[in-house]
Amino acid sequence: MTRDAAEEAATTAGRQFDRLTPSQRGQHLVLLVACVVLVITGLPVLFHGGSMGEATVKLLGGASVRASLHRGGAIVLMGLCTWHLLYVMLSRRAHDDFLRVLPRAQDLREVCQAMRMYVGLATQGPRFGHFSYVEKLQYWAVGLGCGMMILSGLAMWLHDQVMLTLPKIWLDVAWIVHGRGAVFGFLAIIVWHLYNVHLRPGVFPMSTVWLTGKISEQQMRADHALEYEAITGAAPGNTATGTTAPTGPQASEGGGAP
Amino acid sequence: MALSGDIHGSSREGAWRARLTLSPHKRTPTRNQQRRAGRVGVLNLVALAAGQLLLLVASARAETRECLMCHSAPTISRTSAGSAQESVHVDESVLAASVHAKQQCTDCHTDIETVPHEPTEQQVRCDRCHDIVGQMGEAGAFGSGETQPPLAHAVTAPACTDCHGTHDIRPASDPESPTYRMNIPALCATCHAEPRFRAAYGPASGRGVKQYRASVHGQGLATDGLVVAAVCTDCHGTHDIRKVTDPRSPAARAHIPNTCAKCHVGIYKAYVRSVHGMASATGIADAPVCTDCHGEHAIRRPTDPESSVYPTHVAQTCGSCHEDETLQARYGLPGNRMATYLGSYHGVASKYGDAKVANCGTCHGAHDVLPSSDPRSAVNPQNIPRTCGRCHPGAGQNFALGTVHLQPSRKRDVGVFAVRVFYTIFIAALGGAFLVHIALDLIAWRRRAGRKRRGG
Repeated sequence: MTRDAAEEAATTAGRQFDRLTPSQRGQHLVLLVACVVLVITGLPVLFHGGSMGEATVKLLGGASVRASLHRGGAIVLMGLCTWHLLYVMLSRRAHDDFLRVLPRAQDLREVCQAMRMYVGLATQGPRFGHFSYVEKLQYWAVGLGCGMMILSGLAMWLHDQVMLTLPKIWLDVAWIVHGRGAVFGFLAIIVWHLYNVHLRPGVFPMSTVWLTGKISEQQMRADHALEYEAITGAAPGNTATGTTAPTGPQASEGGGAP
Repeated sequence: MALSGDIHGSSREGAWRARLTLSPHKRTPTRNQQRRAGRVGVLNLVALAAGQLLLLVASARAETRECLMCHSAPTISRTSAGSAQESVHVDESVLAASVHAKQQCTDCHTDIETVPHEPTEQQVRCDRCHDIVGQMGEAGAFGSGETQPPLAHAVTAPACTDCHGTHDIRPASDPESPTYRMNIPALCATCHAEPRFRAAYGPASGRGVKQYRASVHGQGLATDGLVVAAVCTDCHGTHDIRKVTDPRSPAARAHIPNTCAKCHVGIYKAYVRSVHGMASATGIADAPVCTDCHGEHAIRRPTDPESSVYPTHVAQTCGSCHEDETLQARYGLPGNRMATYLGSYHGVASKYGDAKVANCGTCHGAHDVLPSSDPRSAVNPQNIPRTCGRCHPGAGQNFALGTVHLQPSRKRDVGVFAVRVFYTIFIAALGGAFLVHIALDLIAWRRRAGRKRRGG
């Protein structure tokens, strides 16, 4: 094997594509930590009937420590959201990503294609660009979820100020929204996100995009065929889903950005 | 039966006999004549001089002195038929310090007429002088065993001397007296913390002493040295102690507010105006009295985390009646108060040990609790802003708009109910969609894997 051939083989087999910027990976990590803290300190309030909550609060160091930790987590989350919004507005790369994560009619078509493939009406699933509908759903669930949680959480945190202008029912609604929203967020992470980036055949045991920011060529062709073809100029069809890797229509990482 | 001790030396024997003959307290001529008979000796002359000297110094105590001739000997004892040897020693200094220092021995030991005397079986009767004894025998729990069936167990009711002492008896105002306020719990505990007492009356009977010692009253007395802290007798009475099931006992349910009011006047005044106090005053036995919320012997300071009225325990304490369906039906109490409280942030934080957060009493009041329909009630809609404002600065009428004990349903708190239903359906639908999508994805993957194995 010549030196050139060896180099070419190495580059072909190990070619990596940029997917997440260091800032996006940082945001993901902060979100992860904030969510873990908020869930651990928040669920005892939602599920207060049994002894689990009591044990958790005891472990955390008492009711006031729990409340302080939860509010600390909230401050981190609000800071993160500010960071993300500024990033989307000020960074060209992030702005492009944001435009690409906006929902389009194409997403619905891709959902239909996926369903046809799932029920056996088609042998091929949809071929995705930079973001699949799975990733978009994840992104917007997190984004809107954070918005709801921050709004309702702030209302309860600043209850005295809120009640200067609004009747108590708004706080009661905030209480419901915050509690139910937490359950939903928890489900979205445990069920949807962890399946798509951990357990899904093809990415198991874990997609490393959130750590390295890179996606492998193989994964790229399987999950983002259209984008791969656009970057490399490869012929369409060469990257058909189902032939290269045992992957479904889902992308390998959830959301790309929080 | 015989006297024993170191007084049997013949010369000393002679000496006291001689002195006795000269006693100024001659009950009857006959008795003195008897004493004189055959008691003449040389030493009598010496005794005569000594006796006259005593007469001059303390004529009133002369008879006591005569008794002490023998009874001051530390080893003097007697042996009654069928019982062990028993000391009959009397410490002169103890006697002198007692409230009966000026009394004669024979004032109590009335059956002793001659000296020396045979051991006597007659009990000292305090009621010869003290009227209080009559009251005791009449009705109190400390009356005679025969008239008090519950006390006719293995343990006999205490006699005067069990509490007051015998020769060392002191006034209750004397800090040395066992009946001095600060000594009373220990005094009662001599029986009520005794294993034999528990054996006779059941394990619960001794618990009160232990609980009292840890209570705010017991601690106030023992730790802080507050002589005004309540002791056993303040609530149970002294000579007229009765079982608490006896309606005449000051610790009987109906009398508890009055008994506590002996010290807690201000709280009593608030209580009698409250819905609880008014109900109790009209004879409704279900109405809570002081002890129902605060406990009895185990009563603690409200800031003590062990207290039944410690902020985080209040809901449980109020709930013990207000969550009782029988009582709810009988008095038209609104239901679901505790569940709705525990479901609110106040309740959750309280459950997790936040003592600053509102409990039942914070809003409804404690001793002065009134139904919300009463304009004086802290939770009357008119007073809500002021009541909430105690914790929530600037609380206005918005606090009164809406329900505090939220029970979302089709009938009430409809807005909150609708939001809750919407969210529940939304979460269930989306969560279901997630699961279905994942299942379909896995099925499709298996199908593709199968096709690949077949060479497809």
